[in-house]
Amino acid sequence: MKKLKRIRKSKPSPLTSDKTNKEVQAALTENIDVLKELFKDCSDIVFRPFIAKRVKACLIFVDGFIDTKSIELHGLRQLIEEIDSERITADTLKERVISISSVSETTKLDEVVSNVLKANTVLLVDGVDKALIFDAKGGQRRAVAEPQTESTIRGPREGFTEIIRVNTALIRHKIRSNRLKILSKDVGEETQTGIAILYVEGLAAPELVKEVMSRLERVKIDGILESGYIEEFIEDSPWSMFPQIQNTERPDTVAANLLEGRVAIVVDGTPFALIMPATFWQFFQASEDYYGRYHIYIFLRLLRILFVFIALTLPGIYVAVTTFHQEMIPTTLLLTIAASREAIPFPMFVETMIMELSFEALREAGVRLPQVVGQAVGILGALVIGQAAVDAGIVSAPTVIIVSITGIASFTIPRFNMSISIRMLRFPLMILGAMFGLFGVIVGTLVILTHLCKLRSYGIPYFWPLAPLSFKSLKDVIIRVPWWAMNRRPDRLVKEDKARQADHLMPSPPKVGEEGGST
Amino acid sequence: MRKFHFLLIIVSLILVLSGCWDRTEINDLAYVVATGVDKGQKQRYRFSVQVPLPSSLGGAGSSGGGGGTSGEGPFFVARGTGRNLQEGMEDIQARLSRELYFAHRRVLIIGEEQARAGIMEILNSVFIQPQSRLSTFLIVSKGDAVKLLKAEPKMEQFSAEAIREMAKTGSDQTVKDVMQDIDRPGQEAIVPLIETTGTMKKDKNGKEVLMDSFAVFKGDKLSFITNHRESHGILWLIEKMNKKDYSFSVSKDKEMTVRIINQNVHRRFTTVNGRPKFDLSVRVTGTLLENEPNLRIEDPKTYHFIIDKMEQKIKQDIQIILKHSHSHGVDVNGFGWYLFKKQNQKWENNWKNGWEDLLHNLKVNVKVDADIQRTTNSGRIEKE
Repeated sequence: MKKLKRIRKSKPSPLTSDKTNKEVQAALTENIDVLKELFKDCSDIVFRPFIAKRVKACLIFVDGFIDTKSIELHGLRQLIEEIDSERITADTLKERVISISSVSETTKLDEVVSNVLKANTVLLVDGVDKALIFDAKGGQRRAVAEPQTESTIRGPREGFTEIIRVNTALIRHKIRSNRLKILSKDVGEETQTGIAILYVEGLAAPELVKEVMSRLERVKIDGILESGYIEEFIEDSPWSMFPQIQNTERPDTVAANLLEGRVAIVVDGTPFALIMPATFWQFFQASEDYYGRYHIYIFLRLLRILFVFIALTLPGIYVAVTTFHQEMIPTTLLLTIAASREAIPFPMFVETMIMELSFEALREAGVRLPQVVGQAVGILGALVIGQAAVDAGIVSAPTVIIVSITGIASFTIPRFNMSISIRMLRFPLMILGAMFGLFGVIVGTLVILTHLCKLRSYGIPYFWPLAPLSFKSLKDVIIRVPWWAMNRRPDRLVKEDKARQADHLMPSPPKVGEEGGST
Repeated sequence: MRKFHFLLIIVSLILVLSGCWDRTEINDLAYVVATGVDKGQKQRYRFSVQVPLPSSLGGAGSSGGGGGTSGEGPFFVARGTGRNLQEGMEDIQARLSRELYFAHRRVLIIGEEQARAGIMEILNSVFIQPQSRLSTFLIVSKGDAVKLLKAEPKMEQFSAEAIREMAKTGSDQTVKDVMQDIDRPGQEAIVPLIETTGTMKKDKNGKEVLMDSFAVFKGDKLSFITNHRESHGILWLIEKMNKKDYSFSVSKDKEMTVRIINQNVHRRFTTVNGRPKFDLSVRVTGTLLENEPNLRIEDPKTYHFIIDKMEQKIKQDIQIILKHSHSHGVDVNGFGWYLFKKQNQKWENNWKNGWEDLLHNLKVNVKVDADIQRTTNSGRIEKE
């Protein structure tokens, strides 16, 4: 502990960065020399010198980042053809010659470097002491496709890609309002990863936005390669097993959450956006809940919550009841279990543990395998664990059933990060069940419940609106009321503009023979 | 920091030391599904327990399957003697490799001989033992109880299950009910009686189980066993005729059968010359199931004729059992308990002590109000 304290006291050394504070010079060769020195041994940086009517110029860009066609069409060709006199300034170039939509200028060489690395193209012209930056991003990237982790039967089939601008555009497509604000920030000393903070002004509480920004400010790291990095830096209880920030691949989910006053973070290089604050119930809601008939989704939401309990406690209860409370099992079932366990050499706990661990291993083995091999794993698992283990008398058939029900139950949770937390927690509950019976299971469940109630995500209690109870917001938690009844936005998130829609929207078309009808 | 370590050690010690102390594997227990108690010599009891054998139940994955060694069913009956229940169970336990477990006992069978000698001690030990359930069905067997435990009804895997099902649909008397009835003043216990039978006719060594009569108790001792008509009378009195079929003859060799769908008994009493006099009004509704004489039930005259026959037979049933039990000084319908509840003062002062004598001459007026509300198919009606 003393050592730990000492380490904590010593300040981390500031990350090294070789910055030059040089300005862009009028002489082209000088600039090129400095830049070439900075980009030493970077074989993908292209310096393309050319002469347009006696004026020397040079294009600098990263090979593979840019759309060469558009540079050629709107930049180079016009430059070479239309440049006329020797009195060229940055302004004339920007306004009269280059027809690329996004052009800016800078005088700092540092900015030149960072813009080149951000997939922009930099044009240096001899005699001009400014550098022109065009935005002509291109290159090969993955197209917008259906999200793999959150597929739906009904609902938009588009998912985020790895490019931040495509992602923000997808959200802007959904919310075409000037109140949708997208703040940008670069995080990562080396990676300089662009992240965008999205919120709807007037809906998201200003304190929330401020809090998100200040937490992001803290993140000093060499690289951000996925939004998971950021998630771990900005969550409330870093030791908790439960996710306190929701991630999604779907623009519609992000848009819906923004409209409820939440804040989203989109990170360049990953299709997973973060949504905060998150509550426990959010992890049991799929975007499809809002698109299908509400009756069915009320049922499905209740089903999911029931199966969360099963996924968490069923193996524990099974072990506890069969080793401590045999009187609780119906006689016929008990005799069936006893009959099937007659030849099993292991105690109930060991048997269940073997099965649960093999199931977990099977799932893990299947996740990252190529699809062709994945099928083989499925067959192997079904045959070896399901059938052969029972026939061989290593495990009993009821245990296999319990383990499969638990497995299926954990797959009903729509969000993977929540389902894996719940799946992990069933192991301690099993151990408690094997040691103390149902008493242990109950105590374990209570500990988990207490922990969940204690969690907060950006000031919102994790169990809200169930605990603390808020009746108005319960409309969209365990059930999903029809859209015409969801009049108000969640009261803890949105403080000012609470009305989501006009009142009395329940459709009531005029009946036959009735005049007019109700409005 | 030291405090933290200390706490960590304490918590892990609690987990390790206190855990698992009463854990038992499913396969280390012998699940008793039925117990039999018979009278032995010199104030001793003969106990017998029926334990299913999981290995021959033929569950999936078990290597067994099929019958046991002697070709019997998938159970065995262990026997022992003792001066009380626990001692008897110790005696049985000494011969078993698995621990006897009573939480799944649903049937307690008491032999006829023991029932005549008194059952309270046995019921009390059921009451005291924490594992056993008060919802266990209590049954009296004709002859020895062991014989019934050894019976092998074809329908179920072991006889306890068959007896339990029969007791549930029959009079539904649990140990709790019987203990209450015995303790109530002016109320006697009625317990279903079972005997072994053959598949076709009554046979003392048959393998099937028959339950069609009742053992009527006086105090905790068996008083008499009912015959067929008396059993019907008891079922009417304890309002358990629902969903049962009731046949009565309308003319010579022509019977009709009614399925009872609703039935209740109302008691009212008046005091005549300081003596209570009871009016029983029995309300019965039913569905016509069988119509041998092909009578047109739609015709009001015929209908009343049929209903009269039915009411008469029910009335007779009830009167027979009342007469028989009252002659034994047994208050089978709990008239005394009724008075205890309604006229407690008079019961305590006037009637309580001489109740048995009063019973001999108790006037009970039975009124039956039957009704056939529905018919099934009308059947083949001869044209008139």
